[in-house]
Amino acid sequence: MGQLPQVVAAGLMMGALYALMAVGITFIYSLMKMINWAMGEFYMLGSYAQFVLITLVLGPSLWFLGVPLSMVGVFLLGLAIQKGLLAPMFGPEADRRDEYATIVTIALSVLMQNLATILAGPYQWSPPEYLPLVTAGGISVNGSRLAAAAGALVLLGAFYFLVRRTWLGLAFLGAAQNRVGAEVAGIDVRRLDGLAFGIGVALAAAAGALLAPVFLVYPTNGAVSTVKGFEIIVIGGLGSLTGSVVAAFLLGLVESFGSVFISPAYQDLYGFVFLIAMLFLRPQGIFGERERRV
Amino acid sequence: MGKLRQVGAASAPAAAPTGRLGRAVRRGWVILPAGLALAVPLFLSAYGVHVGIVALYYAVLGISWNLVAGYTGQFSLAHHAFAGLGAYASAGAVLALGFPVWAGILAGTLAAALSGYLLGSLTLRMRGIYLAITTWAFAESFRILLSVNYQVTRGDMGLTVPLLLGTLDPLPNYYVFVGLTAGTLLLAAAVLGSKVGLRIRAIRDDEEAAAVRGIDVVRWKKFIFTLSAAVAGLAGAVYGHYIGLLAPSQVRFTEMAFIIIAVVLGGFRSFWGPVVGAVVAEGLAEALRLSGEVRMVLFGLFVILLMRAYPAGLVGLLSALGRRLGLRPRP
Amino acid sequence: MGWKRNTDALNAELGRVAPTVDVRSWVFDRQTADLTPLLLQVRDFGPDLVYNLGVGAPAYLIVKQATDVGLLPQTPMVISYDVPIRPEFWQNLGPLGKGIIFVAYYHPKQPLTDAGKWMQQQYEARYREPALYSSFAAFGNVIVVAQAINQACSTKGPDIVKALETGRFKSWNLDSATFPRAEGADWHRVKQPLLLLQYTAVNQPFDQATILFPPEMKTGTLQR
Repeated sequence: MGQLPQVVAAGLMMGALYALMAVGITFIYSLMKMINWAMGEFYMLGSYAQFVLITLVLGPSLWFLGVPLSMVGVFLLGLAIQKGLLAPMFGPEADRRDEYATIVTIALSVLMQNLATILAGPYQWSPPEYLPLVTAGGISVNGSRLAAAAGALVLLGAFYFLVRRTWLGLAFLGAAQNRVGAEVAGIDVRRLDGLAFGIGVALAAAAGALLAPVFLVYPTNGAVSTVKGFEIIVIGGLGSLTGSVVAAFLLGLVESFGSVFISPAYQDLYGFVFLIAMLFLRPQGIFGERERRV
Repeated sequence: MGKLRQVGAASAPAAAPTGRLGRAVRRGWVILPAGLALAVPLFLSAYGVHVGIVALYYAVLGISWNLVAGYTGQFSLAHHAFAGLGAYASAGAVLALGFPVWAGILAGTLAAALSGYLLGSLTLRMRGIYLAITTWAFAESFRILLSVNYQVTRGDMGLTVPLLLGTLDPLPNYYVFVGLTAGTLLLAAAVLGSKVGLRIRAIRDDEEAAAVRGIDVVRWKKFIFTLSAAVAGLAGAVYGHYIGLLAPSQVRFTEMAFIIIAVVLGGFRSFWGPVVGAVVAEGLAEALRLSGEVRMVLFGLFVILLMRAYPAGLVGLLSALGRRLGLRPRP
Repeated sequence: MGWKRNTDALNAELGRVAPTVDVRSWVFDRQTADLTPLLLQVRDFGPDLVYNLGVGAPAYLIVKQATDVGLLPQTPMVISYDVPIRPEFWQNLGPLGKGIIFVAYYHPKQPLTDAGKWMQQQYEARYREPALYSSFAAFGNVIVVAQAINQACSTKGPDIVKALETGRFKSWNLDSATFPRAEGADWHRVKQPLLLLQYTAVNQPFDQATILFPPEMKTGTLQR
């Protein structure tokens, strides 16, 4: 099958982008043990920020500057939201934390989507393509998609560096493994919560900014990010960053192969089937650990 | 964080809902709203009555979801899908097998009940996040299947189904929904006031402790999942036949979000919360003529504020008001 | 020909009207963002024409991703509604928008009836800009009802309805419109002429697009 290289390339590229979406969710979960159902909306914010920056300020050739700028903006917003809404979850008498987080983040997602529709209208926008069409070895690849995948790899690399090699990253890992232990060791876990949330949503915003010309900019474009992100974190193992990355590439490949060799109409279903299968065969995911909570 | 704990206290066994329902009936609290519910639509325009029907539809969904999520602690995100399943199953029975509408609705309810049983069984060992994600995944998969298999379901083009009472006039349909809501309230009160109610609350509060005390957690989780799914399926089927048109968009996640919002607005884990929340969310929004998006922004905001500061919701607010006015004894 | 469609009724109709045309349709969930695998299949089918039935985001995604897989610009593509007239069309697609064919109900260069021409003159005299489609449509409604009243010699509702059902009327773009009682979607409906327009240059304003169809209004030929 001459299509094989194209299918694999497509799958891997999407995998890089999915990884960016999922890593943010996992990072937040590992520290705060909550799932942020509004991740897709932060993706959406990132895409709008990028579009506005390119159109009004930077111009099409400086698109790569828009990405970090969008990230910073959304990071700050994330900090504010975490402080206002989510910090109370960790007070001394916090009860039914999961429910609280789920309800609040779902409400946040509804609020953000509709606010975006009111402010920006339901129209779809797109900045100009980041790179022209790239053809190599018989495969042609959308330039923006390639640029986005490259950007995703760069950001994932930077994130890896942050988590494994900096003091802050070690603090995150420590607090994720054992919150009380980290506190005892003198780490301000609450500040870490805020930073983690901010970084997590900034990563989602980065994905949105990178993918603005690929998946377009409109109020509900975050759905893709949420859906794929959740599938990946469960498949990879809740709380495992490596798992998220691996699962993201796997999902990209599964979808690509499924679409070409089975049917493109079911494309979004392959991820769900994969997810549900994982939940029953190995619920902790590929790299996750079984958790006992009483 | 006493505020977060308040939610648990709001439904302490000390005032079991049948008692609450019974007391409310005896004190006449139910008479006024029931009277309003029965009489007001006669003075409203057809559109106004339709709004009432939609409010009652979400009230029924809210009550049934509250049973499984609020009282049993199983935060299921597939409730809207059970409603959709009931609607489409009924449509299948009526259109493909030639059942009369009432039999179709019955078929829809059974189909939803069966799915509720299966989903409940599959998610038995799952907690919190895994349960939420699994139920969400099933609901989304269901929606996609409905949409992609358009040859069978007519997908996003919409599936026309025979009307419930043979007429599009909302008024007679409204009373069907009143009956449905009243029936659901009675059912919920019966469940919650019985030993089953105590068991499911125990499961919510501490599953391990409940198991240790001899409660068959597996059986009761499955039971409540099946029951609530059945009610959702019933509501979905009835609503589907009222509107006369089904579409996969009814199974979008925004529907589930709205159910959650309505229940939380009214008071999560309270008996009357879902009804109050649904009526307020639908009715007030229409009365204020807020656009769809503005509505959802405000609701989202209110839910966030409520969860943050006053989780007992509108019902809690009314209760506190009642206590302050001396109309109810202090607890 | 390869088409993309999601109604089998349309397939059946096409089979009846143009039996030598080979039609294939691909269906996707409207929230799907990555249509490349699907478009690869379309490309391999080797169609003479691709009919893009996406609305909103999918419409744009199909154009972009079809270009990525090499389906466009070699193969003509028809967009099923007037999204190319929207202001963000050229912003979103840039050079990819050239050559796109689309369906519209109005084009400033289309021939008008004398009533339509009168309307155009009056509108420009008063507002100093060309008339909009919506104003033509409203105008058309008013003069049709006026003609019906004249034909019925009465202003009573049922009489007007009867006149509308049996008479012939002049509108802004039709010389002889009828509104018969017919089945289903044709109930009291007159078919408006559908125009197929094509953009022949990047950032082309809508009034300079060539009209390809119907033949009596044609202003240019298909550009590949």
